[in-house]
Amino acid sequence: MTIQLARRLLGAATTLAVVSLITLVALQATPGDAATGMVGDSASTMQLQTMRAQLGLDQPLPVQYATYIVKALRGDLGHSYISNKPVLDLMLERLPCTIVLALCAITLALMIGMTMGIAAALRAGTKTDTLLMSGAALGLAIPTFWSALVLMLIFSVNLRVLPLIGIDHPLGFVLPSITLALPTAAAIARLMRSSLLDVLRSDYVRTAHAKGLMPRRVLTHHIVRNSLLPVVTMLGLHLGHLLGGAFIVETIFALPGLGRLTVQAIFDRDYPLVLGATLFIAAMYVIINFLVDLAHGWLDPHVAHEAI
Amino acid sequence: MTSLTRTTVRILKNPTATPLRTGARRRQTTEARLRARITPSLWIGSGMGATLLLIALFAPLIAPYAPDQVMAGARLAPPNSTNLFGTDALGRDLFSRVVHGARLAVWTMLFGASIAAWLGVIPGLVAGYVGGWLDQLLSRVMEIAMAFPGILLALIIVARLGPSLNNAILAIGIVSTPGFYRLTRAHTISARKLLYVEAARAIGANDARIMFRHIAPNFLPSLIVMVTMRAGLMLLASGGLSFIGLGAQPPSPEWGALLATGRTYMESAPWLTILPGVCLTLTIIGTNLLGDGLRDALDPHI
Amino acid sequence: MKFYKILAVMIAAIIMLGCARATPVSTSTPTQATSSSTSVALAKSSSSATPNLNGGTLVRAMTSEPASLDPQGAATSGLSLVTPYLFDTLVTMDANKQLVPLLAESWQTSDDGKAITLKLKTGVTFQDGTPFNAEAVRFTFKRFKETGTKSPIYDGVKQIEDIQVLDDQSVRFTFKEPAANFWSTLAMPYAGIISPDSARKVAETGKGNLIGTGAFILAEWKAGQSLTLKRNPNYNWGAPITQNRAAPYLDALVFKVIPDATTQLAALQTGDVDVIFINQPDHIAKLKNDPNLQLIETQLNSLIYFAFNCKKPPFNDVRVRQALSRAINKEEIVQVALGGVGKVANTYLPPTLLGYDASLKTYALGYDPKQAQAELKALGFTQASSGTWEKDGQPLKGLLLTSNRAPNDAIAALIQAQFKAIGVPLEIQQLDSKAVTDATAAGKFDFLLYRYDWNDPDALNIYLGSDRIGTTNRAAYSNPAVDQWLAQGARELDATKRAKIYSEAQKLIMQDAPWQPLYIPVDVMAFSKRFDGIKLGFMGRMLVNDVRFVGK
Repeated sequence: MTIQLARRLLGAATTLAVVSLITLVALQATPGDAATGMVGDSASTMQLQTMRAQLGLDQPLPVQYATYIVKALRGDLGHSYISNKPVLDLMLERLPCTIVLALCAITLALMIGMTMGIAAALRAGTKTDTLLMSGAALGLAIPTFWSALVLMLIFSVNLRVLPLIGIDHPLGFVLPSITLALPTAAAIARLMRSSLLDVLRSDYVRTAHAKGLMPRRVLTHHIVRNSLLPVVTMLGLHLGHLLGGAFIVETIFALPGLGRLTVQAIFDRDYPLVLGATLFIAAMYVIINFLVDLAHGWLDPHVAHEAI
Repeated sequence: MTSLTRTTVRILKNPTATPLRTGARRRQTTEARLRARITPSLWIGSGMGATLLLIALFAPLIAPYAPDQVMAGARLAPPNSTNLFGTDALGRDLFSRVVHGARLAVWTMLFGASIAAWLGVIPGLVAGYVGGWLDQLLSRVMEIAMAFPGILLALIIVARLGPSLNNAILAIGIVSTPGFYRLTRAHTISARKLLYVEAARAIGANDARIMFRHIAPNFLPSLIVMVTMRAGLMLLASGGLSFIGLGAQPPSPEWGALLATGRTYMESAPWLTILPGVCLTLTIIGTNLLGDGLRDALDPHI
Repeated sequence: MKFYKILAVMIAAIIMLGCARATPVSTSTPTQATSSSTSVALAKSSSSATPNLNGGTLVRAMTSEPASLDPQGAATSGLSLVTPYLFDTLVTMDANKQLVPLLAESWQTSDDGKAITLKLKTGVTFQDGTPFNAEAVRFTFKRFKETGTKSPIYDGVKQIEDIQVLDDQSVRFTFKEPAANFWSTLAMPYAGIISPDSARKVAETGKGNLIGTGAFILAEWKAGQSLTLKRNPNYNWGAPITQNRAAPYLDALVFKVIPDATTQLAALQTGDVDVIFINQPDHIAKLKNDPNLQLIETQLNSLIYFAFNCKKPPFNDVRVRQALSRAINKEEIVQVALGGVGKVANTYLPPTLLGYDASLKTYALGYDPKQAQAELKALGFTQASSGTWEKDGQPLKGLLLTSNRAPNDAIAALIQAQFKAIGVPLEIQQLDSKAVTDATAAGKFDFLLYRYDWNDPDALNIYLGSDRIGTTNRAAYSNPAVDQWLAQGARELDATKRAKIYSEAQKLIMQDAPWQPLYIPVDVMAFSKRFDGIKLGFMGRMLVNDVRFVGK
């Protein structure tokens, strides 16, 4: 148990180290560096070279990487090239908005998606099923920036019942959460339906029933549990995506989330900030993965001993 | 919960409603089996898919204008008899652009989904079946791939290879890979323990055969559902990359790009987003229906 | 519009049915619901006093927030928007680009042009209470030379050889060579004077913000959301570019970060913001008819140009450049891609800059596709039956590089169509601005659609001087005769003579056709009629000292 946990932690550390290395190499490979952006449009070559030296961009890559890792281990993610502020502070400023948005959206999506999926599976082949699945298909088929704009035009500009932008007002999260929840809910509904049908038709449900177990026991112990496996996997993926920031929705609703910060940092070639954001996103994945595996162990006794 | 229980009981008690694996079924002819399981979803879905393919195939014949033909006089004309879908800010015929865009939509879905599926399924199957250090290694690689922010990957690919629709699709495909891997691996781990797999192993069937003949059919329905869903999402994602400026290059009539640029005219020229949006939506619904239909028709459990 | 109303009613009906209870969402408009608590309090206080003279909070939308509020820092897009209200410069310019005093009262240039002596205003204090004096000026520019390497005016400031404090209120800048562009350097918002005390505190603690003498004081900065500036009650040293030169009437000035142009438009309509800048022609058309809004047009010191890669064959041949320049229809670009908002450019400097010379139009290469084809033929290019050209087995085609800024996609597509009309196929590549810089430095393009914004005719040197090849001289254009004129222009202090020099330089450049100047952008500011007295200063700066809240 302890050994396996230690192995898991070691694995997580490897992931983070490799991710940061790849990011650094990748950023180096990207045309244009921070110095070009920082000195502006009118810079001379001399000014550029001074800037590169100041940022340590003229150092060999292994030196840059080693310096970064040593500092990161001490909890110092460095300072943004552009604003000179500590990367950690910049990210912490944006974190609350992103977390609230991600949790609202995922909760909403889970509620809608599970209800739709279970209802559709139980009435498989009926008109209700067709209607629900058409709704899900529609939810998957509408681009985020389109639904965001339509929702905004309707509820904020025309009806004026919800705030347009920002998070000054708690209702400001309503439209962005709905926008983000729509495709996730649709995906969950489809997967839930398909997975539930799989389980309902599978051999072991029949076996369980044949053993004379009570239907309720069949239901809770086998059917729902087992059909949740792929849903949990997908939920983890979506939550991970959302915690990395939702750039398009943040842009349209003017929300101060991580997505905008990261994309801006990428376009600014602000390496420390990009590295910090990448590490954060990677860490989120590692944690969520772990939770997903735990959930799998709990849901499916077959994998219980492999989760930890 | 009670309704769920009731249905379960209904399904379990009435084997004709959900035919189960029986010896009798195996004796049915393939033809009869398929006919029994062709659902409206399959009809509608394949109908929509076929329409899209035909439009894509005969785009130059259907479209009255070239997709990049600028007609300076006809700027932002609403839909009318000469311009069925109206015109955009440069006076280009939107109908012709949408029709030509259908080719790119088909390509996006085929190319993107196959990259993701092949890169995800094979490693997932191997990792789940073989287990041990190979599983550890593959899972670690996928974890790293998944942990890597998609937009950064897209930016790097675009920066190295130049911005184009194909490079955007490549990025989207790679980003989608871990999802397929995880799905396959999770199913394989579950399936590995199933009685008939262990039985097959016991009688000495080789590993490849077990993986592809006994385990793969288990997750095929889920895989089909995922592929169809992802194919649609890929169309959306390429639009998202256009939104950031990393997608198809102007004057490409790629649907996502049409939506992303039409968006700024949302209030003054809504047809620029609504009409391509409807085409995109119909296409995605079509692929989903097709996926559902195929699932019902091919499901090995039934 | 009708479509949205119908959709709105439908969705509203669904929601009502779904909820089965009419949720009493606040009936107030989103303005009141979302505006910060300060503005609500301010609105109340203003209603009790003499109505509508003082007070009010003006909210302006901005596309991205500055990375920091150090005027000498990296020129992120929001920086020059916010710092003019926090930091005063020594001099500034009026709308006609005439130099006017701000923190400097008067100035003198030595006969050899190598020294400038400025007399500073008395009784000016920084917002932290420390006095503004010659030492603060010296400190500011010394700090600049040490840490201001990221600033766009670093090269301008670098010309300073020495700064002497003559007495408490006078300071002298000396140069090795006369520096004609130094005045426009001083007028740039990046040259704002910083309180030495605040700079030392920031350097020591690594926290806090720099402090200036501006008409507004930074009150709150919510990262990624908004910057709130409140009025500086002690202010009475404004420049003679507004009627009110004392403290502003407004209580506060808020900059809200709204990245998306469509959202900005919606925010103006709902009243979430009072001022936005528009660059989408169709947004302008839409707002023109709104009775609650007023629009001001301003022409910037900017030029959108189409450049050739002058190093790369066949575009290293001036005759090929001239021929292809004739394929471009600028009028169509302005009318179609910009919806008529913009002015066709013929010369390399915008009309608002010294050195602009309308008579140079005779050297411009006007739209003439037949002439273009004839010239290509004369150059030995042969046209295939498909319409494309080739010479020595090399097809005539090219890559048009541009940044992914708003109207560039439409302009690029239009130019592509215009080139196609004479049989030259173009491929368009839109990259982010950093990647464009890198691609142009590496020469990985044939044509470039780009823009410059500069405050001084020295722009020609920055964007076309031989020593800037590899950085800002993206066309890699080089003509020693032009370089000589430009160097002379940088030293010439007499405005008339200087204008003549740049006119001569342009004459030579235009014959070499490294660029085809396309148009001068016109920026439009839309603001709510709840405020009165908004003016635009030079470089499109919003002047708010005269602004009064006149309410609804």
